Amino acid sequence: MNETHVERTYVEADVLLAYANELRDQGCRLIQICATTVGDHFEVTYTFGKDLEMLNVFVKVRPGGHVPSVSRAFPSAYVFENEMSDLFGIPVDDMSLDYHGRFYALPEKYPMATIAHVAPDGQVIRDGSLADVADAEAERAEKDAASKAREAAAASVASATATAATPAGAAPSDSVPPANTTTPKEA
Amino acid sequence: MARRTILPYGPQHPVLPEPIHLDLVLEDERVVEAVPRIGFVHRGLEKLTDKYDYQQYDLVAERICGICSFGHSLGYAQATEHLVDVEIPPRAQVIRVIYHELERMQSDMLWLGLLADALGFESLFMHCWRLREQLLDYFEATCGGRIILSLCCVGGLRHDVDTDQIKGVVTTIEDMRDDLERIQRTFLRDRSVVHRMEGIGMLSAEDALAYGAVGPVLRGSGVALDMRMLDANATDGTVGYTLLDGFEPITATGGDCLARCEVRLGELFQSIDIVEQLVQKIPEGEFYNKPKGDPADADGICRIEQPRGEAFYYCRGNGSKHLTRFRMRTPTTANLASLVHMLQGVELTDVATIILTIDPCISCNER
Repeated sequence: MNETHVERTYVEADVLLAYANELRDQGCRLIQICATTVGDHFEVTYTFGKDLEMLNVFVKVRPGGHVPSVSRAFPSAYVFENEMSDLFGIPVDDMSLDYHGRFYALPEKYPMATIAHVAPDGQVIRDGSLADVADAEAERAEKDAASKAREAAAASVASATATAATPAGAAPSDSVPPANTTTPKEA
Repeated sequence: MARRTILPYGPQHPVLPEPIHLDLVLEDERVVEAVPRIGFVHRGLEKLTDKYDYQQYDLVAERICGICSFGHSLGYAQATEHLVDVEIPPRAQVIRVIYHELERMQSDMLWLGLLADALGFESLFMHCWRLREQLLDYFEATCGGRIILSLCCVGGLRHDVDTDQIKGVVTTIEDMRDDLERIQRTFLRDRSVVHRMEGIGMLSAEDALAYGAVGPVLRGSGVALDMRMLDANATDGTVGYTLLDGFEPITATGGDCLARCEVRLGELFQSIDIVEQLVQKIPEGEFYNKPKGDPADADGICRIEQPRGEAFYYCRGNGSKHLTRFRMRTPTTANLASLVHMLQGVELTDVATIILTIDPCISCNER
């Protein structure tokens, strides 16, 4: 089994390109670029390799932030950078080949964006998973409300039945509606 | 100066095995530039870590690809096993390697068949796929599935495989050796086949490294880099490739389509040798250990050599059952930039052959 220990090296976005140039001069190759949503920001992982060795460089991107392209140092980077831009909406500056959001032919923009941020086209993203989560929460709340209403109605009917069965002379409770009262749902 | 035209190539095309679209900028019949576009089969499988816990997800990981599915479940399992407290039984480790090599063989045979078909060599295509069927029959007999094996999981294997049954596959692949030698001779010596591949789609070693090529594309340019070397030289007590009597990657120096074909043919025989050696060394004992706890808040990375090249798996845990992120960089993604570079300056008729020699798997690529 390989890669048992992953060392994290953080660099600032503004020095990333210089860092990448240095690694290229040392004979490294680019293995991959990966974006991850971590809390309220993104982390972009750049993995470089030399022979069988591997180095992971992490860059934190705040919502509204940009990352510079490393495609001038590593020509293969444009594939990963366009992918990252299309799926997460993270703006990448100065790509050697920029598809402007059309690398992936997706029906939905930025499907893996889970935090609100600004896309390359300046649009504030609130779709993707955020929208899904909001929709799911609204749907769940609606179902909960409907379920509570049904329970309340059932309880009312049960109480009314119990009242009807109360021995003569016993005063009915104020909280129990008359048996012929319709519930809000039925109304 | 010749007039430039843009020819849309794919996603549906008779010789394209998978849906990729290329805008080919042509000057007469010569390609000046190729602009790829993908996304036709994007399924968002990486995102499904939100819905499925890390133990359920290995079944999803396996479905990323319909050819090298076992390799994906293996890569996912190995990356995740870094995040959980579990020790993989030696028996499981060796059986994993055997199945991974058998899968490499069936994938390479599939590719050889597709290449023969694209070249119009129907009988060669049928021979390649006839041999492949025997391996699929073996998978079906031992796992129930022919492609989706559902064998590998985090912690070892989902079920044990009988040692005698595994030894039986040696007879099958040993019997294939003669047929494969005949196929190898046809691919590398038949004039009609060689003519379509020799000197076509050139990629130098420097360009291969600069454009991030992996697998047979990289090794076909003379760079001896194979992720199985990582496992073969492992010193952390894992078994599998370490049990082999040495491991040397197969390389070719031509840098053209023929060299890439030569590497894949060589790797078929290499896989037979690996399986034959490992079958004699399968340890007895458990095949699964239950992981303790949930994936830690850390990173797990694994690189394995898939049939198409180095695949990279990244898992990020958060202390819960669900991973924060699972990412895989497939060999096709890595070879895409090299493909675009290779297509510049070639004749239109050679485009299909060059695309095929990177063995593109777009469903892996898009996940």
